[in-house]
Amino acid sequence: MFKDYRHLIRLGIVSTILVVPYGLKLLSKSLEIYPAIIFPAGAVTLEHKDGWHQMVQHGLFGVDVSTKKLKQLDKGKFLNPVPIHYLSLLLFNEFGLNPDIESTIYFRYFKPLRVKKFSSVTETDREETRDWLRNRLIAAGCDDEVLIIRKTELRINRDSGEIEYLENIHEKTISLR
Amino acid sequence: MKKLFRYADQLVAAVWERVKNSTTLPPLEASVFRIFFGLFLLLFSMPNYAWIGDIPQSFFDPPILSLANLFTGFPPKAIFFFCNLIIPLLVLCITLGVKTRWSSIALFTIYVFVSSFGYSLGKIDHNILLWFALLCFAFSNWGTHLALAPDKPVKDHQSPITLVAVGLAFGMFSAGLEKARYWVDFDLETSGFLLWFYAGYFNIDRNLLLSDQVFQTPSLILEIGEYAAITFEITGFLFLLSGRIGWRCWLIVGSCFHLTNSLYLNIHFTEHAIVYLAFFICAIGKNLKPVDPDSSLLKRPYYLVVFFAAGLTLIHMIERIADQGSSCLFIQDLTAEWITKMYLAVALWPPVIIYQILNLRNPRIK
Repeated sequence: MFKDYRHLIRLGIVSTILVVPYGLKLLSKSLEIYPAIIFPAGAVTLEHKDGWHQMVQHGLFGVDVSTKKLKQLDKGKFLNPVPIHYLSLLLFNEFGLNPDIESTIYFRYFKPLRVKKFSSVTETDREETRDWLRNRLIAAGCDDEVLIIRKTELRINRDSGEIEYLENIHEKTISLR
Repeated sequence: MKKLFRYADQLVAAVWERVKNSTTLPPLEASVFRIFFGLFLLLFSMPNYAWIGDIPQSFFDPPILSLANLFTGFPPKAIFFFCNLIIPLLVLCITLGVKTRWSSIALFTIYVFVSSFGYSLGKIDHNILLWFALLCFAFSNWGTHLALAPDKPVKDHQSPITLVAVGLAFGMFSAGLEKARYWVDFDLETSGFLLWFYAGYFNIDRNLLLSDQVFQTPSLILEIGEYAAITFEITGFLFLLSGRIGWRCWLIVGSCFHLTNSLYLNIHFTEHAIVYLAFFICAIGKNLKPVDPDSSLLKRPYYLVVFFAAGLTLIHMIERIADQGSSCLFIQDLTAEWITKMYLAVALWPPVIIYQILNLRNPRIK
């Protein structure tokens, strides 16, 4: 019997392998399966108001060891060997140092689900992370006591390409001591 | 009911046959492709996840439905070191045709294992096509010719290769369909492209090549570009069904799409180039005609391939034992690797496109 419908069965298997992971991702990005045949969509848009686009820029800062002034860190060098495109997620998680961060699963058609993350991160792991960050601050010529995550709002003129940094700055200071 | 199912089965069989015809790659040419595939990996895309062993455990935040979630943290560094040494050896086996089927499956498995931890920092990258192709080709006869230890031929050589094309068309469709829902709004005051662009430009240093030009590009051009991208992405299946030339035309457009993305968005997807070439490589079959398909790689002129691939593997091994290296040969850190791949994309896509255009109509070898 199966032999009679072997093409249909094959189609069913291939469709399941392809469509189920995609369906889950459509339902919620948090439900994306790996590995799966899914390519990047980036299906959101940016609106502009009065010809200006607004964005948030993430910056990492330390305190310069000689001048005691804030110094912007080269994000790529600071994170190395972690690829820079993981930066925003690491910043969101505060490098795993904040145990109180809850994750939210956003469903496309249902209410968001707030979930307390199961975390096996111990205080020893956090100390290891602080060490890791401290070493990087020292290598960048900064004090190893604090790392500052700064989100700066900026706007870009759609016609001229002019970039204007706004005064809205959100800062989070991570104490490494 | 039975009649209906039989009819549906026949319909699926006819469609599958048509798609197979669009993507035909005979075993000899598939074996040639295998050598190029292996050399491509050895030169530009050798997975290197040793860095995971050096990052703090508190970064571990895998997606819910990931293999890594079966673990409570990153495995010990020794595991990644071991995988890092096995990977080049498996790629060498694939290139030289040493038990290619098992080498391909083993490489895919190890890659998925290590990359699952790479994607445990909160984000899944979508560069699966190359690895999906590797897995599919494992079940074809790409290891039966020009091989040091040839595989036993399978009966249905073509279906796994056709599955690569189906996966590619579906992957693009999955990206295009989501974009279409939000990007197609006929409103010049919104832009999906610019959200990608600004996020990359301002936050992750994607400011190379022609990226600065985006600021000066009129909204209308960007809007047209967005619709063109969506149209390309969602139409893969139609071109796959339309026949070999149609499918190849779609791949040429895809190559131009990747070149444009590399230049303006600094998103390279160079790995797609080698997969796209699989559907053109049969065009060089006529040049291979004088070659005895059963030639061993140890006979002239192929022994050069053996030395070249073995040399590249040796360099990777030395770099990895010294805890250095990246996925690109001779490149030592990840920032330099990314920049190298960007320039590589710009250097690679144009000749790939020219090759594709020149061979668009070349007949396949029976």
